[in-house]
Amino acid sequence: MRGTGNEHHPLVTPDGLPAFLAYLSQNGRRVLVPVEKPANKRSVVFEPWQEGKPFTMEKATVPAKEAVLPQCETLVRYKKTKDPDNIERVTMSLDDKPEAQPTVVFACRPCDARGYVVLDRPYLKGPYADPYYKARREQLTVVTLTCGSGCNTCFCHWVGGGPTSPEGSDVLMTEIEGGYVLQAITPRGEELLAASTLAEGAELFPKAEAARKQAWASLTPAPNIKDAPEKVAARFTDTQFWQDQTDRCLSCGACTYFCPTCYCFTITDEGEGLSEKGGRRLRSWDNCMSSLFTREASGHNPRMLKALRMRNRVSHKYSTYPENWGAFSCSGCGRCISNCPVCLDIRAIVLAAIDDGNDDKKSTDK
Amino acid sequence: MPVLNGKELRIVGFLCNWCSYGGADTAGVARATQPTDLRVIRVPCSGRIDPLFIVKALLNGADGVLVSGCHPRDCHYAAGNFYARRRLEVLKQFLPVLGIDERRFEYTWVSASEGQRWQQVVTVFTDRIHKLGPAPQLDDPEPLLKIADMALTSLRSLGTGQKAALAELKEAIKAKLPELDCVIGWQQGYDAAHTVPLFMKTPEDVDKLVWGPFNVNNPAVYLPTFKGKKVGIVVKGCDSRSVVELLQET
Amino acid sequence: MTIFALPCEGTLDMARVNQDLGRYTKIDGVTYDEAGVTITADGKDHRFCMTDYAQGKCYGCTTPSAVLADTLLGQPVKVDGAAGTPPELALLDSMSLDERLAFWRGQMDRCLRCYACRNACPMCVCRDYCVSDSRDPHWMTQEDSAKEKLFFQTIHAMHLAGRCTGCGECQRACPVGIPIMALRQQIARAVAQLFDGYQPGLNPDEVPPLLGYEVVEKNIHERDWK
Repeated sequence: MRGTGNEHHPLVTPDGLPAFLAYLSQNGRRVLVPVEKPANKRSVVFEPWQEGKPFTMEKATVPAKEAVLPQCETLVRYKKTKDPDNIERVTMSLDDKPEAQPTVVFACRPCDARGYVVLDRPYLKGPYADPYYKARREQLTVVTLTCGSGCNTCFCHWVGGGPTSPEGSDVLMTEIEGGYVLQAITPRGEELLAASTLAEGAELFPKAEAARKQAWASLTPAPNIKDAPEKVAARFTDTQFWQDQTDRCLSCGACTYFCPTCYCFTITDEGEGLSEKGGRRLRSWDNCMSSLFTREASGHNPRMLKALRMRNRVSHKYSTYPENWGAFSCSGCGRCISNCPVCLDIRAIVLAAIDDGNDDKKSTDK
Repeated sequence: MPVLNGKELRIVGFLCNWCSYGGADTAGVARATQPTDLRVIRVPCSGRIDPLFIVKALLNGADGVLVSGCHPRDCHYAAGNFYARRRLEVLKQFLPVLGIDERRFEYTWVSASEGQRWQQVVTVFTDRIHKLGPAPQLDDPEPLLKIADMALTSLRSLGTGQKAALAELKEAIKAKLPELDCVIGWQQGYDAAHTVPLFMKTPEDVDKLVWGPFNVNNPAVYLPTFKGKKVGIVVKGCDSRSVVELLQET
Repeated sequence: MTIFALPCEGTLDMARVNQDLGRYTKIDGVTYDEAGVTITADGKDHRFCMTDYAQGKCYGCTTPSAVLADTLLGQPVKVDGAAGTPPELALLDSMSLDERLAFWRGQMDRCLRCYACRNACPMCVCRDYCVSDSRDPHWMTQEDSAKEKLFFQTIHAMHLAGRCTGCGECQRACPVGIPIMALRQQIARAVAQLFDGYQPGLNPDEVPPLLGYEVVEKNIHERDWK
């Protein structure tokens, strides 16, 4: 949990936050902050900050995934023009330049920041890097607020994360009495803090460390799930198990869209190339829980049953992704549990898969 | 009547092929002058018109939408315009809740011989749209967030169901269980403040049934998946309405 | 199908309960008394009285005892009076036309089109074959604009016309709390007004009004084109 060895730890007071955000917004940077949306069921979403805009430091209902993977982005703009002298000649103009703006994500949580690391692996470290993701990721700075305590659906410490984990962050902020102590984690974070005019708070860092310790202490002990990859894989042919676990699933998509580590997408073409506006190739989030996710052009659908789709989702996060990349792709944020209309609990499914001795422990009570 | 100052607004017309399109033709043959804002889309029958066509047109920038079909009782396909009349009247009453002025949408009946009526309809409607001006687009206004007032009085007594005959109910379900493939109810979720749907297949499952103020889910949503099977369901009042509505449609 | 029922005394609006509970690590327990519940979270007690924390739909409910049941155990609940305007619809009623457009713009901005509302709806029987997913006809693009999202809500509301029973699952399922019930309530009000006070979900032998027609409509009149 140590930073880069630099013991410069600025302190931001709650009153000083707007000024800090103004500093972060310099040089055309877009700063995404959690904003409360009042409603009969209130929610917190990330929105670009402007001078005077109210914001909150709470954990957001949506993860900060859009900063690197927008819900819908244009990959290619194309326009066909017919040669007026020879209408059989059609020229096609293509514009596939990735659009990215320098961005700071402010006050996300360690589970959100871990999402960036999880997405980095397939998008950047595979056979070749996704240029659109890369353009955004390279211009992203992550300022994470460590959690003061767990919440009822959090389980970040089960999967290798934690309420104060620095994974994926450039700067960590920890709340203490009187303000937030900042700690640089990466060289980019260091640069950011060095150029700021915040008061020095190094002598308060021990208080931050104490707060972090307390956050860990508030969590219920994590079960050992290091066997999850093999145990979940071993359940692959046990369709009855998956059917029992998913009997109440509605196949909506709340879990995947609100997940910081889900990254599947679909590509669709919109517009007509010959029209005045031309056409666009769009990439948008896709949802493996929907029945059409694996439907093929022939009409065949290998995962028509929702049991198989849940098997795929849980296996991906707890079995195949760890086998490919060495870490769980779940960040334990618990949004899938709290947003699910029927409170499906991925923790219970993984524990049930591991618990291969006792078949009567299939209930989803924790 | 000429278009005001050469400024044309975008008005979409959905005309049925048999009467209204013919009526528009008649108006044309008679050289009737009318505003040219209206652009016609021909459909086989007004009954073909999904109300969503109109909403899609209005949301995508149309300033007005006019639908025209055969007079009721004269539909080329006998009953198409009867259905259309109901759907479009409901649509007209729905538009205001979205923030769209319902005067921007009109549906009418014009027969093939009524060229002059067609001219009048188009002129009056175009005039009306011009008076209303270009339609506001969804992206124009600053977002407004307001919360509904929940300080309400109830029509019946609200409580936590502590006196409900839950034990008796469990016995009744167990008694019926052998004849049924499954009974849908609720059980405790991941903690004491949440319940989740329960699919009871054995007497042990029935013992997990709970009843109380946390039973928010509607078990009727699972009924279509049990098509062809013998299923039981435990319902609150609102759930039973969903069950009845599903029964209406099977 | 066999229907079992108990008289319903209302359900809690978990959105408001969670808001008052705030952030907590664990529910220690829940105790019930006749008028409400006490939730103990992280050692702290929070009391929720049903008259203050019931779901919006419960206050105006006129059918707390199942309308159709094979086994109804318990005395039917007495209902006093007729339902007024539901709270979400009352909110929309109180706004001008321009304000409503601004309102939906604001609400749809945070919609993620997760389709929890659609999948939680018991009347959405199309399930895997929903028109909003189809490419042919292509009703909606994949763009994440407020316009596309509002159009989806319109599709859902219109397809439920005369069929929506107001169970409220759509709104409850919405993870970001958009008051989409208002759209469905408006259509239900229009249907009741046009078709003799028709209420969906009360009589299994009735035909939903939009699935049929009358040659002469009592409440739909031709317009004047003067």
